[in-house]
Amino acid sequence: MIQIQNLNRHFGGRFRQAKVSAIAGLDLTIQPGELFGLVGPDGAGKTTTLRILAGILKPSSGTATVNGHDVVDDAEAIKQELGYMPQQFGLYPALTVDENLNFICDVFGVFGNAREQRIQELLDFTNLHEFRGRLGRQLSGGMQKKLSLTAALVHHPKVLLLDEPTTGVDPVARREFWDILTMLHTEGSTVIVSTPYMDEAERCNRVGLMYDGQLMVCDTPNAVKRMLPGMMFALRADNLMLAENVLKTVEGIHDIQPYGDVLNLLVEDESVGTRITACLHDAGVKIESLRPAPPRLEEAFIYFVRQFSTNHVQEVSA
Amino acid sequence: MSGRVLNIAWKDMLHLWHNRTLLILVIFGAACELLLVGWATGAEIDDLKTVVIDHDQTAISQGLIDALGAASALTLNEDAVSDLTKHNTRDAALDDTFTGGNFIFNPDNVLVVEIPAGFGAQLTAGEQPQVTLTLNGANSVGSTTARRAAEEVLYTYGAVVLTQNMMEHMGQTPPSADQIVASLESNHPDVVVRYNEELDRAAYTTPSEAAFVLYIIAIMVAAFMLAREREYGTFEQLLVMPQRPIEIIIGKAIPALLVGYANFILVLVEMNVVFDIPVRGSLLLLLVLAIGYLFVELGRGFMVAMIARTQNQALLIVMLMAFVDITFAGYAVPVESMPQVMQALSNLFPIRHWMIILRGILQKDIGLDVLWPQLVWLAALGLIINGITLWFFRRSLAEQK
Repeated sequence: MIQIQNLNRHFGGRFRQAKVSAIAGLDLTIQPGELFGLVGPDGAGKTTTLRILAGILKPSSGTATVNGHDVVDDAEAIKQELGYMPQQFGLYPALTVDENLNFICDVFGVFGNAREQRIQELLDFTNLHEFRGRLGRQLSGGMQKKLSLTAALVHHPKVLLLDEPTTGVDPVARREFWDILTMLHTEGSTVIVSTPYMDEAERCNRVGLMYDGQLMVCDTPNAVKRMLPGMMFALRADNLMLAENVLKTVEGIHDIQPYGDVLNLLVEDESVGTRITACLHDAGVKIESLRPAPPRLEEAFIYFVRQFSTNHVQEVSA
Repeated sequence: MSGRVLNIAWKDMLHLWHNRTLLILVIFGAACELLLVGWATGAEIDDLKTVVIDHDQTAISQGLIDALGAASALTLNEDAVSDLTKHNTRDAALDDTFTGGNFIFNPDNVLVVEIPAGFGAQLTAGEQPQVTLTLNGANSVGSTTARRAAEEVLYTYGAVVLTQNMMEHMGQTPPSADQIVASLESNHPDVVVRYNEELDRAAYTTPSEAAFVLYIIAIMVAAFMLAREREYGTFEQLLVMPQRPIEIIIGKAIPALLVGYANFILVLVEMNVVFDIPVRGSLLLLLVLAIGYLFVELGRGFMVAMIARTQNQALLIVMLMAFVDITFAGYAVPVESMPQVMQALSNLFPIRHWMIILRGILQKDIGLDVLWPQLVWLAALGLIINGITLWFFRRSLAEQK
């Protein structure tokens, strides 16, 4: 179980540097066995949150506990129970895959048969067997990510913190990655993963949307989608460019997203549909189809971020 | 605890092993440098180019020129004056507007001896003619040697001429110049040189180099190993592992210690075999103290790594520190010849004390009964430096950016 209460962390502020608040009053509770997705725009405080939980960054104020251990006072106890995978490749580029893993095993006290077995098992599901003799820097980006994950798992951590584990990884490797995470989840590990990808967030059992150092929305993916006001329309038309320009002026449309040959429209309610048809007809756009569509997490995410940023701007100017 | 310390040490050794070029450079580079320094400075200083401007042009002034030419340290540059005359309407030898300044700008010439007109006449009359020596201060060691040689010749020659002149005056048969010189030399004080009996330059420079090697290699390896972790972001990996800061530091100190120590032993052997400079005092004491000294300097290496964010920054800082250290170590200029303030300041640099210890044991066969103040200094500096480093380390862990 992870509990974060009124957590704050700022950077700078000394020697006349500007003081930047990375986390401002964060509250979050994650139950054991959850697969929790941390989403949010760049600079929202996702990495800072994970690093505080990993015990490598001290909070400015507030408390955070991992399985009952305080991240400040009891950081050493947490380290044995926790696997952390940083955003950048955090292993040694000048050592081979085997040497890196052996070092990590050494430090975490995984020895003998248990080590051999664990490394075999992890390399099996990350497909890194044939690269065991390769230096860290010679691995591709995706393989480096897999090696980092492997390294974070050698000591059977109960809690796993992953900071954007699939950024810069090809779709096939991404799928494999999530298969591994899902497997860990079903085995009972608590997994917290930060990600910029909404399809990944959709695979979590709960997502938290961070903005400006705070948790704005936190619920299951379906519940988050239901929080979207209004409804979604999917529009197919002969001239999507023109349609988009025309619809920008129509009242009651919150958001327009081109998606391949479809325009996804987030609207206030069903009645806007007739207005859309009328406007497009006037502009000479031929509608092929206009039907209600299920909202996706992506729309919800963009909607909430826009809302928060407008509120934020208003707050600042007020 | 010891297990995790060794894990980190082993990992860093692997790093060195993978980077074989660096490893070879780090281990043998210093030994090669010692050879260079030893050979370059080992040669005796002679063949110092000397120009004589003879405004007097008498048999007595010619005698002085011959005497100068006979001095082993000096070599007369006989063409210099006639060459200058060729390019001038005036005769450089006869015109006394030509002085040392006309020759000394040439970097080949270390010394110009200007014999004034009337030198011979004055000398035989029992007066004291003024011979002007112009020295090339840019070559300080050469010009000091040349000056000593020239003064010796002038003194002896003056004595010879005076003696012969006087005895002739008294109607006696004067002894030959050689006889007078021999009797003069018998009056010279006995000079006993201790510790470096041949006044061999290599015996002065190579111990300096040996002291320096131990220091620079250790500090570099330590600074680089830690700065690299920070630069590559692997430091985070270390932090999420269950080691404590002190374990990381000690683990990282071990490879640096080994490399520095290997270097030191290599250099000691080299000094003994190639330059014939044996360890006169207790080898055991020297080797034990070397470890202690290494711990002091490693603290500084880690401090550099905590300040620098990349290996390049670490390199620049180490270079900067090395320049200051070299000065206060008395590597180039003896600390004893510095102003009082500087001498006092030099005590704050560990290498200063290490240099005294190394020279003391290596050349003078002295032990802790004499060297204990240095030991106290090193221990105190070590405590302070390593304390600050650990504090720095802890703080930067807490304030990770």
